[in-house]
Amino acid sequence: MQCGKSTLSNFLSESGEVGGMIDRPTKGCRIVEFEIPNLTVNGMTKKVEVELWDVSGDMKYESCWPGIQRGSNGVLFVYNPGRDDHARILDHFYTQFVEQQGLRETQCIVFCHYKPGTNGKRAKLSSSFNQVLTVDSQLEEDGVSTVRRDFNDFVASVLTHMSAVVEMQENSILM
Amino acid sequence: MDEVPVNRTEIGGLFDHRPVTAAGSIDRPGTRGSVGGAARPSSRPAGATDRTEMRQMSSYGDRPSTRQAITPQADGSSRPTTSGRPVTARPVSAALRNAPGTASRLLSTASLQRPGTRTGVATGIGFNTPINVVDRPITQQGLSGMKTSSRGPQRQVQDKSYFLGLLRTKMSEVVNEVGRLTTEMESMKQEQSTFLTYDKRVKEMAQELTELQGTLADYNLMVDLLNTDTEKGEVDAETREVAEENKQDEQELDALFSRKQHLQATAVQLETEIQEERHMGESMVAGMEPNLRQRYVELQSQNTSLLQHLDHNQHEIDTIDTRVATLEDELATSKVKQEAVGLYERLQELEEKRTEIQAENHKRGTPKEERERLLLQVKEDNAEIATMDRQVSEVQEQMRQLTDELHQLDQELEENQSERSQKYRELRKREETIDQFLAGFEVTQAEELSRLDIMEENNVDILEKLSTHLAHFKHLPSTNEFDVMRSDLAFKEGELEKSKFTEQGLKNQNLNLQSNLQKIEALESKVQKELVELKERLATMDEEMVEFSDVAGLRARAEDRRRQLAADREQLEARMVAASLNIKEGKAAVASLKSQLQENETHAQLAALEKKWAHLEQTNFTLREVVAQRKAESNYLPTKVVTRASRKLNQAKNYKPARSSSD
Repeated sequence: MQCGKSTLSNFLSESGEVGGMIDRPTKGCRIVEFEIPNLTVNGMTKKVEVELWDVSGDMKYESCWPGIQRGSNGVLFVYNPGRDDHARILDHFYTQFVEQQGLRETQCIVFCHYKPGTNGKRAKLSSSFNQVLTVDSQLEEDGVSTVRRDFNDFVASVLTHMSAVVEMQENSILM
Repeated sequence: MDEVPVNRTEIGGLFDHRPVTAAGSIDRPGTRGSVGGAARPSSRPAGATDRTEMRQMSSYGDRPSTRQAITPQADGSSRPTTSGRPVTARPVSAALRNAPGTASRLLSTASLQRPGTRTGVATGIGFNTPINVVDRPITQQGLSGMKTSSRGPQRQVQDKSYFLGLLRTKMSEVVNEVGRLTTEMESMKQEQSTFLTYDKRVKEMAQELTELQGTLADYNLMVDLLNTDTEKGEVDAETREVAEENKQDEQELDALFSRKQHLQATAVQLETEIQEERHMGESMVAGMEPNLRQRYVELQSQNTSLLQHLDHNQHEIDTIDTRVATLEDELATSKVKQEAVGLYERLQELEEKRTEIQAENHKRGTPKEERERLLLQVKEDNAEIATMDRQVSEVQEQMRQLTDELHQLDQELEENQSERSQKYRELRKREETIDQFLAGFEVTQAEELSRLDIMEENNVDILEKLSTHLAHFKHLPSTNEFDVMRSDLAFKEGELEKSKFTEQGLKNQNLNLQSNLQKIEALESKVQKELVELKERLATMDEEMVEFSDVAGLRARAEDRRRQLAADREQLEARMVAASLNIKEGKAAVASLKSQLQENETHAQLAALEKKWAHLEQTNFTLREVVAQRKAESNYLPTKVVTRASRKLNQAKNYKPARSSSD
């Protein structure tokens, strides 16, 4: 809820200027497609196509979630450090998007997003996020490259997981 | 004879009278009839009458007979003169008889004889008529008529009367002409007088015509508009435009008018100013010093004299010009003079040449000097030429360079200009687009946002649908299963079809069997009945069996019965004999009685009477019946009773009349 998901996705997909857009709440979800050139996965550098679904944080779109959840390979949580209720909402999301879909912790990442001009401590998240990587993100000055790098690392980890799963399935077929 | 043509030409109307004369000629036959062939030696009139007759045969039905009466005489005396007629009327024999005469001779005789007859007739009857009578048939007749007419030109004896007649005709013609001209003149005068009014009317009509043409043009325009389906609005708009244009033109006209007035006013002003200036000049002159004034006066007089001179000269020039023009005209007309001019000019040129040559001759010294001089001159000229050549080449080179430079510069300039202008244009375009964008930004943003909203709503809807369907998705079978199920379904449908068929078959069978069953049931009831019957029979048989088992008893009984029956037979046989005897006796008695009856007379009488009686009885019966019938017809008592009863009823109904009737 207004923690900068759309802004972050716009930044990652390099579509539009960050900060130039008018902040308007996302309805349902947006799908952003972009490419990450030169991503190293399992020691191989290649071009990766990412389909990022920018999902609204509003609970009134809960009815849309099953469609969004289906076939997801990774989940990126974003929360606002200044808001206490976010931890609780994030918990809900976790159960809905991760546990019920049978995703691993390696397929998740949490961005504690600092909006420009906001300051605050990183709020304590519930125990379910203990195993999940949590990083700070901010789209100002030197934070830009860090955010991109973190995201790329996340994509790489998701891809390794996917390839591992595929391999496992192939093995199971062979057995 | 001579006067005939005169008469003819003189009085054309006379031809009209001819029928009358012809009618006159009709009378002649009568006289001829009295005269016969003797009085008239020439058969021409007769022939003429004949010809007329032939035309008027109906009126003279008996003519042929008279003619025949005449003909013997004619044959004898004047046959030859009937020159042309035979051809038309005469039989062939007559023609043959005439043959030796031949046409020419006959004609000559005819011509000789005719004058005599004619003059004779002419003296007898009026002046013109007889001639006409004679003439007419001739002209109407084929050949001979032609001959007589061709004799017209012979009337060349022009005596006094002829000329008198001619003069008279001419005079009458002149009079007629004069009359005609006077009438014409009068009519002309009238026409002239009417012409003015007509002219006026023409003018009026022309005006009207123009007006009507104007309206016609309007209508045509309207028709055009109608044809082209022009809307009224358009027409109105057009008229409005035209009206506006008119207004504008009017305004322009006003402006021009006002300007003209203005200019006139300025012209007047300027004139007054000029006047003032002149006055001022005069006053200045008046206010000048005596010296200056004198000089001024002198100068002025000089000026005037010069002006006069100028005028004079101008005048002279003009006159000379005119003279030149006239002379040139003259020259142009005559070739000789032109040639003279050309020769004069040539002469002048030649004279000039001569003077030149003379001058040169004067200059020239001895031949040696001349040669040296010429050589020197040649050298100088050569040097000069060389220098000039060089200069020329140099200049050409320079020119080439300069043109090259010029070209280059031009190109550069062009390039620069084009590039710059292009850039400038691009920039201008971009600026325009930016301006447009800025101007329409609010609107486009709102539009885009609304579109975005709609699309997002759409997205949400789709997502929700997807999610709801996902719940069902888990329960859905996989494609493999689906295929299996589909094949299953097909198989089962086939089975269903088959079972339906079998069901149908079974139903049919069932029906068959049920009918069979009914039949069997019927059979069963029958069988049961039979069974009962058989049982009864069995019972009776059982009983009988008991009886039949006692064979000895049975035999004894049968023996008893046989014995009894035999006894009865014997008894009856005995009785039969007695009875037959009795019958014989009775028969004999009857026979005897019958014969006794037959023999008896009274019996016969009785029989006859009996018959008669029966007959009478019958008649009696019929008569009685007739009587009864008559009685029934004639019996009035019942009706009487009824009428009485009705009368009583009527009486009871209306009291008073009943009483009177009872009385």
